[in-house]
Amino acid sequence: MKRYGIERQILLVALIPILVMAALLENYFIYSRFADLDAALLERSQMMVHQLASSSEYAVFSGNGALLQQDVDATLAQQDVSKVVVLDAAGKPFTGGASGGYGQYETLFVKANRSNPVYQDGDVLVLYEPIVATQVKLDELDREAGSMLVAGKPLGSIIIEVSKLHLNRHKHEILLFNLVVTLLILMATLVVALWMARSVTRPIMGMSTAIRRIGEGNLGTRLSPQPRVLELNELAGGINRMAQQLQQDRDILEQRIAEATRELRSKSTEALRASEDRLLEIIEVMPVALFVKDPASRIILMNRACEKQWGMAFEDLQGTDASQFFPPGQIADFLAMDKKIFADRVKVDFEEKTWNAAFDENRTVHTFKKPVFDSEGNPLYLIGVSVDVTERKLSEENLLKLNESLEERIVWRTRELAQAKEIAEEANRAKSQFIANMSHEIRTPMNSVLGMAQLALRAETNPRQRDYLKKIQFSGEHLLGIIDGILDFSKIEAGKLNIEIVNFDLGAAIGNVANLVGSGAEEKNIGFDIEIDPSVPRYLRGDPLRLCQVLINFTNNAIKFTEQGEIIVRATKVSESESEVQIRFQVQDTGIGIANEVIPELFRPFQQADSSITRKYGGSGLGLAISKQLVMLMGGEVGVESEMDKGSTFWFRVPLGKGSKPEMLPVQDQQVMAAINDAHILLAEDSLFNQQVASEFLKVAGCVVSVAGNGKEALDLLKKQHFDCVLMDIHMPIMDGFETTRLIRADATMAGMPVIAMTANASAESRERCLAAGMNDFVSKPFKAYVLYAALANWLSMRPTLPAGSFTPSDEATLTDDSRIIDLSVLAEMMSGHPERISEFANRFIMSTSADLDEIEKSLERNDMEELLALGHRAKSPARMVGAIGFANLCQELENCARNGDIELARDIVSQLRSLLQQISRRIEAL
Amino acid sequence: MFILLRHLIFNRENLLPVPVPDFTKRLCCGWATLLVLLFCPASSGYAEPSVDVQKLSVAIVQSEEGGSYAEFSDALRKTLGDRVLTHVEIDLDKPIPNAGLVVAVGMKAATTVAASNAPAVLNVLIPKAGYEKLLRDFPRRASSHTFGAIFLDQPVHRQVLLITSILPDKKNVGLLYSSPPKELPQFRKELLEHGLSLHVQAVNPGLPLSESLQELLHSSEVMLAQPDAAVYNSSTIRNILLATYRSSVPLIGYSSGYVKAGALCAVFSSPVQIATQTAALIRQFGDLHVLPVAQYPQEFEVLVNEQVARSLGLQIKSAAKLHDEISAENGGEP
Repeated sequence: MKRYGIERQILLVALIPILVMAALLENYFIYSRFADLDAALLERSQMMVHQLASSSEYAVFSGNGALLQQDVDATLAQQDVSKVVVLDAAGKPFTGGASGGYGQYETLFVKANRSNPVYQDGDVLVLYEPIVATQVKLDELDREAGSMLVAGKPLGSIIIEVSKLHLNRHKHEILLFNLVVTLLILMATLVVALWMARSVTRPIMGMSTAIRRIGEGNLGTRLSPQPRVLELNELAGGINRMAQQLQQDRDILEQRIAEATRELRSKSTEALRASEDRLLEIIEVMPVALFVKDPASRIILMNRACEKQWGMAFEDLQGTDASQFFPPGQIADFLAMDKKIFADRVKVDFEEKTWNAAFDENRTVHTFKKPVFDSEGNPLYLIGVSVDVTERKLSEENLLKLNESLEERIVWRTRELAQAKEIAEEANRAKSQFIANMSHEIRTPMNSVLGMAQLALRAETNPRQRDYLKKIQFSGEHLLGIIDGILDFSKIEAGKLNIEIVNFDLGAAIGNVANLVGSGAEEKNIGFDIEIDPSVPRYLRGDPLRLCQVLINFTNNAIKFTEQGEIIVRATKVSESESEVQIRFQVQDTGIGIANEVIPELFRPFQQADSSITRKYGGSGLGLAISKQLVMLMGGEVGVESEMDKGSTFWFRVPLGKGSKPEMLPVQDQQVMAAINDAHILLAEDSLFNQQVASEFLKVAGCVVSVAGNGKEALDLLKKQHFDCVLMDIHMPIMDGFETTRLIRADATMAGMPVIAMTANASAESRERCLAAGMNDFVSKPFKAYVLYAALANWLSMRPTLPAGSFTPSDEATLTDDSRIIDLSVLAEMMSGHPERISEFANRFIMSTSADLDEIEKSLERNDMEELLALGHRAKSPARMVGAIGFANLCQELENCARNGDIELARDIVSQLRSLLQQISRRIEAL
Repeated sequence: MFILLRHLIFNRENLLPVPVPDFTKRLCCGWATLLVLLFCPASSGYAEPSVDVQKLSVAIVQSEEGGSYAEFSDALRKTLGDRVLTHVEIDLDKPIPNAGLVVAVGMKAATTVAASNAPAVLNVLIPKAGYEKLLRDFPRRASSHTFGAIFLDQPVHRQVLLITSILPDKKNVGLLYSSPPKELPQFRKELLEHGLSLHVQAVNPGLPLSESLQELLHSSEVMLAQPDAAVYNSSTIRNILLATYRSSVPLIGYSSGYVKAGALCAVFSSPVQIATQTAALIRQFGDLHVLPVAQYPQEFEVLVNEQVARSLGLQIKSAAKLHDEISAENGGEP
């Protein structure tokens, strides 16, 4: 390729300019030559025709044909002249004046004439020349004498045709000649160029061959000098020098390598020996038996441990295949195994029972054998490691036996435990049920007592009676508080209290607390302050409900035990980490203080400072215990500092997450959330998706959700477990919502179960159908979580456990839902905000509803369901009208019960109605 | 001879290389005239003019500048001296100068001057036919005695004498014309007197000239050319001459130009000769206040083309001899 490259380039360099030049020159020369030839012909022809014109002047003048003919012939005789025509003044040919046929003259005349005297084409040249009389110069005298100068009128004209045949032939010859010459020149150039190229490429090729040889290792290759081309010579010299240098270097290198190799060899031999020794030592030290056999199973190495194991010395066994020391059968196995290992080229490990000749006993050994091959793949030797596992195997067997017996025992023990657990759970369930029932049983009459006391108070003016009644009220509410406390406590004990983790606004929560307790402090003229340290984040994550519960407990206590001064609620940041803050809350009062000896007992249940406190201040003794439990559930600490007669500071410290702005639930809805927290909800829904959605909503709210896919499943579940409420889908396979509800109502054990329908159809008709089927309420699908929560909360008010209640009887600062008691905005709207009218109207409601309740209770005693139904219904709308929605809903419930004939439930409802009415009236009194 | 001498003398100025101012010319003219008058015998033909010629104003009007006209004018001025007031070329813008006598040189000048109110006009260098035309065109002039002319034409007898002198052997004279000349009868008569016969040929306008020529040449031994533009013109002269050559018929021309072109010989008068004659007439007019009748030129020259003679194989006398012969035989006025 290289050869091709240079040659081609040189050729191009040589040829192209030559070609170009040749072409140009030739073109020029040929062109000009041709032009010259043409011009020459033209000139000659013109001269001829001029001559003829002048020479034939007289002949034409005299009309002498013969004379003319002479001239014409003379002209015709000239080379190339093919035709001559002489015309007279009229343009007619002279007889005898033309040759070559007259017929042609007309064509000639067309080609060349007066207006176009010269005509040329490729083959002919036609010239026209007028024959003009020669003018004689005359002077003035002649002119005067009368001889005029007359312009020469043509006497005639001549047309000749000149053939270009010879001319063209001549031209062709020239062309051909030129072409030939050019080609010759080109070829010559080509040859020269090639030769020049060769003179360069051949040496280069030689050099490249030499270089290749050098590259292959023939460093002795040398190039001969290049006399012809200077640069190539230089190159050759350079290559030679390079080769020489390389040769020298290589020799030096070889020497050095030899030296180094010798050194290395000796060193490596030493090293090898050293490592061999080390290796042998290791082998000897190893506690496991190691042996090495050659491909013929002859023993070539044994370590100490091996000797010990086999009970034989290496000296004795070396070089043998041990056949004389082991039973032949065993030996055969060994040999076979070894052969197989070599053949398979794999490492093996296996257990084998061997008979040890030295010790004369059977041993079990775990043997590892690995074949080693040389670089060509031939067997070199076999490494063997042998571990005596006889002891181990024995232990394993014993262990197995032990396990079996243990398992038996465990099974038996488990059974016992399961039974015990069952019993315990039963006991627990019974206890809870008992507590629930008891609270019911106690609460109902308590409500009556309190209700009556309230009514009596309203009617009674006698101060002494009033005092008695107040004391009755006080005790009653105290008792109620105790019950609530017991329930809460038991719940905590059962571990059924769940601490929520939600985002909440600390300021709002504390504010809420202040709202609830503030009036109590105000009544006693005690100052009430809230100080939240600025370093405390505004939004936190935790259980605001329980937090507030504790704070309320502390603050209520503070209020209870302080006569004058002030109560300060503080929140400070103790520490902060990436995700958490430790907040310390404290309630500081200027109360009676607590004696140091008493403090340790303070947070124990049913303890108060002393019995005198109970007498003086009331309280159930459970508040602090519950607070402590709550704080501990929240992962915090609680404590108190106090000084007698100076004041106390109750504090607790909890870790809270860093939160973000809580969802837009108004504070009140914490009550809703609290109400449904921990509720057992049965979700009867056939659509998987809806199941999921509703379950999520409920779980988030802290409910315990069970799911049934249809009515039948729901009923089964209801029979098996306790639920607080059923969310009933209407359209379900096998058994729909209506049917299921009817059956629920028909079953005495669950007749009082709140059933909330989930209906996609929100028409009045379907609502009626729901209610007719015995459902308590309905939410329309798709429902908002909040709506669902509210509905549930509403109907869950019939649940035996109320959220943690108040501990002080004097105020109604229980965590009850204000709007569940009475939504005053309704009245406010109705009365256009006039407070006295609101009061008046509200009081009127209280009066009438109280009367209704009396009647209801009477009918209840009589078991008059119809009456009950009617009364419940009647009491419902006024309640709704004044915004006592809770009350109204309860009335609705009552109606349902009455319809279903559920006395027990009705009783429960009525007791709740009572207590609720009290709350309402208290609320209204506060206006 | 005298004429020649005079010619030489008068024309000497024209040999001067530098232009000579008029004044000098006049002076020279004056001196020359004096010298001539002192040393030259009286010229043939005319009486010596009286001295009164000094009072006459003469104007020369040329048809064109230069050439023969100038030759004439110069010669005349030289002869007349400072009597000549103005020298005018014919120019429509310029009026004819007021002069006692206007010399019109050439047909154009003659026509213009004849039309003007020049009192006396002497027309020179015009053919006889031309003068006759003027007379026809300007009858007023015709009736005056102050409208003279010196023709270019040579008198018939002189021309015939030339023929007889140069070619005494030739008897048949051919004459080619487009239309018969007025002198034709005279020619015939004159020739007859000398024992020559005249053959005439009119050119047929429809036929080529050569044919008519050939016809004539058949019967002629010598051809005599007469001013006839239709026949003899710059275009035809050569061919006519060639034709005559081929027929070996010599052609007698009527001007020097002809001879140069190839005619055998010709008689003609040079402008100088005419000027001399003009001067005489002017002097005469100065005396008599009338101009003589229009006349043929008195002095003449003979020119011979010897090459032609040789080509035609003719032995002929020299021009001088011929001149003498003609002069001797030509005694007086035609």
